[in-house]
Amino acid sequence: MQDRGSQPGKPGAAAGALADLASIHLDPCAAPPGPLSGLTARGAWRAALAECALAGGAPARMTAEGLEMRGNILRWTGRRGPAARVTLLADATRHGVLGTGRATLLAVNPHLPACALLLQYDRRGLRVIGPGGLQMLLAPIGGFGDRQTVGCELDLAEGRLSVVEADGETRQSPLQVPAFAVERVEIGRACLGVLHAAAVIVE
Amino acid sequence: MRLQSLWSQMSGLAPARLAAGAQIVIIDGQSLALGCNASPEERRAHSHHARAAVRQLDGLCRPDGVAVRLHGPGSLGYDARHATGHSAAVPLANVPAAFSFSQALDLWRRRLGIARHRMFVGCHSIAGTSIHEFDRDPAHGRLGTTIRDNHARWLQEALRVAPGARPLVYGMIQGEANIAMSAPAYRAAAARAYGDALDDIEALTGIRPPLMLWQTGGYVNAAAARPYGPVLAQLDLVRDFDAIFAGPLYPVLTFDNAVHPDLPSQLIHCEIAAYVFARREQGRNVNLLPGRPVWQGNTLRIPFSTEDGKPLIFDPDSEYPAYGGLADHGVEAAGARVTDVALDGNAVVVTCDGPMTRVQIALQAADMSAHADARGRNHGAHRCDIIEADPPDSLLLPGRKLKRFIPSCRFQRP
Repeated sequence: MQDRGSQPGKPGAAAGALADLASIHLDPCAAPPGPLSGLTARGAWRAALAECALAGGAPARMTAEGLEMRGNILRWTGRRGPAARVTLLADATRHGVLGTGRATLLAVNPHLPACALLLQYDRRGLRVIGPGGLQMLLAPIGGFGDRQTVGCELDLAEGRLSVVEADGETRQSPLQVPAFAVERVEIGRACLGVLHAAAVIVE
Repeated sequence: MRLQSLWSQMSGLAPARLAAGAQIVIIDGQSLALGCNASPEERRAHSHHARAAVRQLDGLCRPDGVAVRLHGPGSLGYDARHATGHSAAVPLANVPAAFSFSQALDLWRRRLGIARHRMFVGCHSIAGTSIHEFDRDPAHGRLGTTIRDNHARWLQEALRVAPGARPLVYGMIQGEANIAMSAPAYRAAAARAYGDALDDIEALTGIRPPLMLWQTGGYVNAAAARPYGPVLAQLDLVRDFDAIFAGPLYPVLTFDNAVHPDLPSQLIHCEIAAYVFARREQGRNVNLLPGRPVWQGNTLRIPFSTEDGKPLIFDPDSEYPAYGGLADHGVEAAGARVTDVALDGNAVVVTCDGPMTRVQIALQAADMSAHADARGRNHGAHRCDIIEADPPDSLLLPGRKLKRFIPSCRFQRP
């Protein structure tokens, strides 16, 4: 694994590069150390997200667009699409999982299994869950306490699900799914750790 | 690639790269080398094992026009068409052991910081074939030189697609068809077969790769008196060829109440092989083999070559209680009754109530087929619950451990 030590989040750099692609774009979310869910519950994340761009809009518009705290989860509710491509990226230091189940770093349409895309982890490692339940585990590189950037991309036009692992290696799996709209984005369900940056890109 | 580019932007890192120079991984044998005939659902569930480094040849066909994929052409052989290129290896039916091994090796190389290379996967296995089918003598076996011809042809095609590719290892998972052979007979036949295979590889590439061997396990029904010669001969063959010892197959859970591992068991035994191989790449021989036994009165002390002197332990999570159990940890004696099986560091210490003439481990003659679970899965009759302590975490199957069981072995009092 490539070591970037205790390099802090890079607010601005990734956001600028990614913003051109983003329709829904949450980046950066530079939260101070501590339990992710706890931070969101205390509102530290809410403050951090004041700098986030949502469809290039102002923070005030974020609320209007449906961004809100739901318990420990940051949720965006709205409608984008139908989408041709959905991309999730998370730069996170995972410290653990709340409870014994799975934690969700990023989720699109988690309430609609047929068109859900989730970037999850449990004590055994990271995985991507695609529409219909297609599961792709990410290579076990590092673990709790290691800062990693991982992600996935669902290309509905090409019919494939791709994942990018913590060392940048990508893999693909064929997946035919009809076009769908993004109706909900959730961040940080049952997560413990720090989300340095996240991107949800719907095109 | 766009996703990788976005990843780089967010992480500030460059993606990991494979080292230059392709490698060739060939694992031949019988049905266990062809691998688990996984259902589409199983293959889909395990799609995460697909790694870009592991490649298959494209464009090869059997004479009946059927495309030859990972599991080779079998007894039909190849037609005249050449390979047209290569692609990421994806099993369509059987999941060949060579594929599972290579996936695991790529992960273990990454974990251990060993240079990763593109690996071309070859498999020339045919279910149920005797060891005699693997040598170059056309008078041996019913298939003549089919397997040797397939092997040579595939290798030529691999070199056409990837000139300069270097053979990394030649593996063999074979022996179930030859349990009626004596150990000396099997040792001689296998040495001939391995030698012919390695000669073929060397003739085409100029490189004689190391040999890697699995030890044959017992059938679930091993009650009939058969010598199981391959099991003991394979330990000698490992030493004869300075081979990588992938480990015994008796610990696998069979999906068919016979001898074939289910997919998770195959992934684990192939990953153990990859782990041992990766350690060898680091210059460390971690073959887990029995050493010279020490007989003293009613006691036999058998040392094993554990990694870094790790102690042996009894498997704390043994599955055997659910599948008919296990007596004396799998240790049996002739000429006396076993009264104690103890572990002392890296040694198994067997005590009997008299001067035993022979001791054997994981070589039971029994029929355990009545103890299958509701899904028809079972463990073979050869059983033992002695493992190397502190097993590594599996990279292919998160949550599982790579338990290295001591091999089946037998010792005669001098």
